[in-house]
Amino acid sequence: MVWLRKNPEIAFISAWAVPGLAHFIMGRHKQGLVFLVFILALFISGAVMSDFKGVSPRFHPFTFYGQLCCGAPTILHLLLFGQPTADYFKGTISTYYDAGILYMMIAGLLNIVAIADALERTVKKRGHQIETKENEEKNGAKEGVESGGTSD
Amino acid sequence: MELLIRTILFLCACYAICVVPAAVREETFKEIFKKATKSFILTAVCIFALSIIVAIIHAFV
Repeated sequence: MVWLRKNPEIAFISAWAVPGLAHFIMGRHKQGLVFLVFILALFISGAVMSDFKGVSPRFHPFTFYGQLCCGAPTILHLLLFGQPTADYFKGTISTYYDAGILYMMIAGLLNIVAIADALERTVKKRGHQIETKENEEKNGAKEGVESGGTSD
Repeated sequence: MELLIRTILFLCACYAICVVPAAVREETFKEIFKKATKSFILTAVCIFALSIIVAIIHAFV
């Protein structure tokens, strides 16, 4: 699992696919749990408010791009409930439909915050590792020069 | 009843919006929820104040 923690690419993909998964991989379980529970809760409440017809690349594509940032929940929602048909909008739709799709979009956008946090932490970790390696190399070189100087 | 459920959902969603940015900064559950509650209350007060201002403007204009 250590190699997973060092890869920003893996962190990005896992954080996108399931909110909070990257933090779980990095060992930050509390933050991962908070991201998972609250982003999913926001997404599910949006889905309920829009009567499970809120994900639609055909009728509201820009909102869909925002929702897509949530990854697996959006794709699962699309696969399970499908897109609404044109007839759906001709009939009486939920009063909270707009609020629902907005909540789902906000869940996606909040997941971007979680993704950015996961990426920052992996990059920082990687940067810290590179720095410590460089310092060790410098120190090693210095010690070598000093020991070489004393031997002469 | 439906309105009550929707209102609770709305409040939960608003709280969730406050919790996620707090989780980025803080480490423990206590700190996260403390900060989230603070920002949630601040947001609620701001919205309340704004709605009162708008109502006053509508009353006089």
